[in-house]
Amino acid sequence: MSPNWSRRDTLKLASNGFPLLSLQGLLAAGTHHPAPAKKVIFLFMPGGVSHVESFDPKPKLDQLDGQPAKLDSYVAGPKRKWLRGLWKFQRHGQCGAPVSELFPHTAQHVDSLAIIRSMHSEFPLHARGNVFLHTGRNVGGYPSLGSWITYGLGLVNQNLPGYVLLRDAYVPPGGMENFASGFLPAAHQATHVKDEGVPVRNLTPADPDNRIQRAKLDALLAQDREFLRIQGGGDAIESAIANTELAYRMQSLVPDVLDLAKESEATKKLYGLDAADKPKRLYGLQCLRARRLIESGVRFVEVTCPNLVGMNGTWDQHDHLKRDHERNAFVTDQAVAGLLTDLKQRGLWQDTLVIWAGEFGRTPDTGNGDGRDHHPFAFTIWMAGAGIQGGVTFGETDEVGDRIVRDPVSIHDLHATILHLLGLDHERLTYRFSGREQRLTDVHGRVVRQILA
Amino acid sequence: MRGRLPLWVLIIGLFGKSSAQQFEFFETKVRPVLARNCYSCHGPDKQFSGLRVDSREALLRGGKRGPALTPGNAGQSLLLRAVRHQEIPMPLGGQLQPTDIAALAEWIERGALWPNAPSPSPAHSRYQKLLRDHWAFQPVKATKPPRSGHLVDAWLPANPPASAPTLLRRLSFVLTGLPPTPEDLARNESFEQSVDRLLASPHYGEQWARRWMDLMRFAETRGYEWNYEIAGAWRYRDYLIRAFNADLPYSQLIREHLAGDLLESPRIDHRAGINESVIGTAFFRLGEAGHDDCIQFREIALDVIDNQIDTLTKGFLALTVACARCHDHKLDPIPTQDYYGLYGILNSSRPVLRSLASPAANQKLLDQLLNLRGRIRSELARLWTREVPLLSARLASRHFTPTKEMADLETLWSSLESEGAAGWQRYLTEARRRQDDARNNYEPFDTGWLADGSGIEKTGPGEFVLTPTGAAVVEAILPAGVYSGVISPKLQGALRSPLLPKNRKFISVRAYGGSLAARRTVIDNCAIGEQNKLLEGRWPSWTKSETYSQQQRLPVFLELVTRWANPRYPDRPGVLKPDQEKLLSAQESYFGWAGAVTHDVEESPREPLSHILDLDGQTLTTPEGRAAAFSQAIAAAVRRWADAQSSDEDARWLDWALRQGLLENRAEASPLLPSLLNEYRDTQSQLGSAPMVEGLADAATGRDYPVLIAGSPTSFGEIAPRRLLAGILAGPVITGPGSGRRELAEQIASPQNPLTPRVIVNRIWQAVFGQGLVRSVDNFGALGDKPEHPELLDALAARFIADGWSIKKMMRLLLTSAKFREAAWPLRRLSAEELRDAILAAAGELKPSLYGESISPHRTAPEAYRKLLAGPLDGAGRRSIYTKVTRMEGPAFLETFDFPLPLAGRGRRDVTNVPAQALTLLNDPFVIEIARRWGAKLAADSATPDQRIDSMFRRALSRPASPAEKQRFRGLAAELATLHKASILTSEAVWKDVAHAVFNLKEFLYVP
Repeated sequence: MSPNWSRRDTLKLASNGFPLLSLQGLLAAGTHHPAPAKKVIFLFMPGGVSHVESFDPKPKLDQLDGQPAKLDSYVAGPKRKWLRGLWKFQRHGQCGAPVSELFPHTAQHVDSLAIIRSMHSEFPLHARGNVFLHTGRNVGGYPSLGSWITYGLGLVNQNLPGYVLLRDAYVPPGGMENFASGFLPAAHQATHVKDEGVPVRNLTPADPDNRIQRAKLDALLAQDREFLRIQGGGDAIESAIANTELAYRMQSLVPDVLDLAKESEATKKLYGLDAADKPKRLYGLQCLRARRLIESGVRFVEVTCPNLVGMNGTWDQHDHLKRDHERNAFVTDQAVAGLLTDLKQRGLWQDTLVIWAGEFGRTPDTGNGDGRDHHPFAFTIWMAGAGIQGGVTFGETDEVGDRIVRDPVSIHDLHATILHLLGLDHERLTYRFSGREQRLTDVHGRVVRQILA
Repeated sequence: MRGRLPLWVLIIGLFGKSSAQQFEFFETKVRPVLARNCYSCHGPDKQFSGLRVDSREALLRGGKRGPALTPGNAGQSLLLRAVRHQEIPMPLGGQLQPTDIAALAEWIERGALWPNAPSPSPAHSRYQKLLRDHWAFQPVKATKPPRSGHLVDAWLPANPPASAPTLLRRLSFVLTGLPPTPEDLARNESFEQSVDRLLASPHYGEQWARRWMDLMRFAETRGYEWNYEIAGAWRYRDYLIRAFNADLPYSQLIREHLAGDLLESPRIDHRAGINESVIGTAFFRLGEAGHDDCIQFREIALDVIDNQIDTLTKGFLALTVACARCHDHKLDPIPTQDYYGLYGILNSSRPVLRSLASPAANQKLLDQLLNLRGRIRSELARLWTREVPLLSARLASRHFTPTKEMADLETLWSSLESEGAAGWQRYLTEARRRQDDARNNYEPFDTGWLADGSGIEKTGPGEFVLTPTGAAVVEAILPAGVYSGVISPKLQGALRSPLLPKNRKFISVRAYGGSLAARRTVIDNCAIGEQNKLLEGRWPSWTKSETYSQQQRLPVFLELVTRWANPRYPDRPGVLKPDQEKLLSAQESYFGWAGAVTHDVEESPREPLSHILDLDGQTLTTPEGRAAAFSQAIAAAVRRWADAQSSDEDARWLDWALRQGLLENRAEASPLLPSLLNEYRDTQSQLGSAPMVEGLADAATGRDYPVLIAGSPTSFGEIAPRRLLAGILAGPVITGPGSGRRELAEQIASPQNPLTPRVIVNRIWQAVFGQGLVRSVDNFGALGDKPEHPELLDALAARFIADGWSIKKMMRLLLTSAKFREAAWPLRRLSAEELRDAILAAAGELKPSLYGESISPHRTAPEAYRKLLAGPLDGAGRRSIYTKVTRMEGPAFLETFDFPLPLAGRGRRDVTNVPAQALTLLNDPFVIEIARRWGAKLAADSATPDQRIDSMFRRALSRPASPAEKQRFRGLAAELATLHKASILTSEAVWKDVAHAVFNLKEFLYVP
């Protein structure tokens, strides 16, 4: 960064939110109800983590291993066989919740997690599953969870975007619709921050010498004010002028937030930034950035998962289950746990909600002996942080992890619960579009009160 | 003429606003569960234990075990206790899904609301009242204007006009999406002359096409997992440009969109050799679609048609009909019956990738080829006839090489050698057995197939295929059938079956093909489903596939397609083998079809042995006799072939003889053949490649569809006759054999339709004035905005129809109003495309050429396997309308300025004002690169800084620079020269920066 960039501009801006007035939340007066959570980190685990090999152990599968399996599923067939869990489970923490050896670091936080073993979705297809998880609908065009939340609550920091997506180059099934604002104003869509190369599009000044850019902007400002005076045009031109100035300042402000220079070596290590493995370092980087963004007042941060193999999501192991689930866990587990630790030690835990979830789980049976297929009928996610009761395991699946036998939680229920934790009533967070009051939860959703603190 | 409202519209609105959602919950989560799992034993037909569960009253009344329902208390309700297996475990088929049980519990806890149809309800009268009173549903009424003079000004008195340069800039963007050129500014013409000049500009069509593409959610890939290409989508874009430039009457545009494939006299572009009208139907196919077969996931097919209904009713009628998919429309008088009336029409249409070639396309070349074929055939006949006496000797000394399709003759020969008469008897028995089999086990299914593509025709037996290269002449001699590659493998197309019957398990087709030609099963109109099997071989043989007969409601058909007629190509990664991938770019591909049968037995039919019955059985046991008998059969086949009297058996004998080298097949054997063959190959190479585009087709299979209760694909309600909105538009029931799209087109394009002309006139108004007389341009229903000047809107609608549905005339009318020329005019921010085009235009970097394949957007991280390819930074200098619209990840620069995600049609874009836009103008490599090019040009000319600044203002802002502005920008240039340590006159860097500043001017982005 050029030394010519002034910190003074940044400070001046903090008290001046007018260019983004339109981004004040729907609920200018506050929330629907008092709530613990103010911000969210969504750790998106795409592809389908095997629930029976992460947080929902099924000893029965060890007995059935290799025997013909008969599931009522879209993949059912004569050649299917039960597959035992490939990783051992151990009980952790005071709550004694079992976590598989895939996630040794996360396991250390088990007393802080609410593990939901009874999630279900509707389609065993990635694109629809992803879009459903993000927008509550299985077709594109609807606002993402993060967009709804910034729409409902507005910005914490007027100089930073409300919804930031930390991603790699990979485009997940369902495409950018997953992170779009749909019919909500475009300002609520995700701002993308990539792990490699230029993190944010067009944020790096095209002029290496700040004085050149400033010279242009000064001439512009004079000319634009003249245009405003003669032409009128009111808010639009004024906002556009203000946006140019804000953009100018964001060029230094946002990199500051993303810059890890001020982080201690211990912190970096906590996230695995010292790892030899590059994807692991990059995922650690994004998780640490997530904390910095939250700390700086970004409302909703989503972190996608490095796509290491295959094309339809990190955890999509139709084959090489053993090799690739292990690799994915190696890449993500330490950073996720590091993030939880870091949030706790920096006092961010109290108002930050963390969600670890994917679009579905994986079948308890196999077609090829070393892979599992898509399973939307039952899967596991966890939540932690603000307003969450730690050490809780909620819901139950049958003895093989095929179907839910107790306390089913739908994607709509999950959404309703997240909104509730943020002080938003999912039935009252609405936006009129296409002739009706649209909701994130459509006409569904119940708050899962049993996991609330 | 509006019919009496049927009973089922009464159920709406029984509850207050909050109950509406419970109602929807009931219809989506409760009723389907009961219907699927309980009705069969506790419904209208049977009442085991005296219990019915198909109404609230019946549940409350209960059966032998007492009441089944205690509203508000799930735990006490027998219904719930039963499904929870706490009491009598129900249903008998196995316990319900926990989600279903939870839904039932929630429903009971909330009071077990059950919408049914008691005495007349408020909804009934509400629907009736809307039909009677809502402004948009009433006929267009032309009132006399309050004043004389210009129609617009008669209603809307105008303020004083703006200056001429301002007006020209405003006008130019409205009509062409481009700023006026310096030459335009210098023209000495009246405002009306400018209007007419710009209406005639080819860029006018581009500007309207882009507006229309928003409405049709235009995109060129299909999204979901693999982002398959929508083949030829760009041809639809070009079609729109041509149509708007030609001022195609709007009613005709509607007809072509809805039923361009069914018009009695389609528009043919003779010069391009294409049928224009059919391209319109491509709009149906521009939505999202996955690669699924839609059997396991029925909703996918429903979603595709839902998106079609939404696009069509929003776009042409400004109604939100798609709201009536799961329940009667809450606000507009659109019951589910109306939705499924349209669903039936679209479900009866089939998605196809069709050839646009008009019958006359390639005609001259085809005539030449046919003529050459005649001459080649005569010469071959002469050659072969001369060889007949030699056949016997050749056969006697022959050791046969095995052939795949003709193996019967080789095995017969060796059986005769080893077994003699016994072998012959075995073959005779086998021949008869196959005849009997064919009669008993297989039902012919070979009528009603539809061919698409020039050169794909039904031919009699004995048609021949010439080799593409090499010394041999003939590649195959074929039985009667339908062939795509007989004249040339460059001719692309498809052959499609009628709907497969539901009374047989399998269909077998006798076919072959090569170079990626495939046989596809299309289930429930899921166009890029997985049933895509590559065809093989060079002679028809039988292969089998399923009819999906257990799926009674699903339309299923089979298609044989060449490579360019296959909607799945290029396929997703890993499906085609590497050597097959290479074939994707080849122009050649072919298939042949020689019949189809349906059957229940597992095996496909065997090839008939009728050709061996031509042999004289008496002589076959000796070597000489065998040779003589075989040679006689071949000789007879040659004779009949020479007379064009071949049978299928003859074709088999000749083809076999050629393969075994029994007949001469080298061109050099004749003095004529080498040059004939060369000429043939040469002529063939001149055939144009096949223009293909996605669209819809009819197959005489119009079928009404039932209402799906709560939108569930497996809960069938009453049949909904095919029709267009029984209430609002009083569309008559469509009974014809086709899908009904032709009738639908006429009803939408009817001058009596109260919506169509108002809706388009309002869109034109918005295009000119920035916002419609009805602001909600896509919703004229009860929740839409009221028109600001209803009489004016109607007067314009009436004028529009009287003027022959001419969009140009309406544009001219509005543009020549004093209202349009007002000085006090709301600033309009340029659209994403206008901005990008204006940057290119100002810098002199815009290529004005029209049409053609799209340019991929610039990307730093392309993902080829998702069809997200990287294009050049400057988009090849083409207008933004030629930037490829890729789903999953759209053109980033355009999206920053509110280019819409192409998911649903929309007639009005967001106009946002966000920092990301400022960042883009400050730092985007595209903006910087174009500024650099402009700067380089400026620095190289001989003008003074003031002259340069003035020229830049004219190019970018359509006006000269004032002395104060010259001073300001001269000052900037001087400062930049200092900072760059460069000469103000010759530094490219300095003028790049000045150009960059100009691109960032608010006056550049906002048009007064």
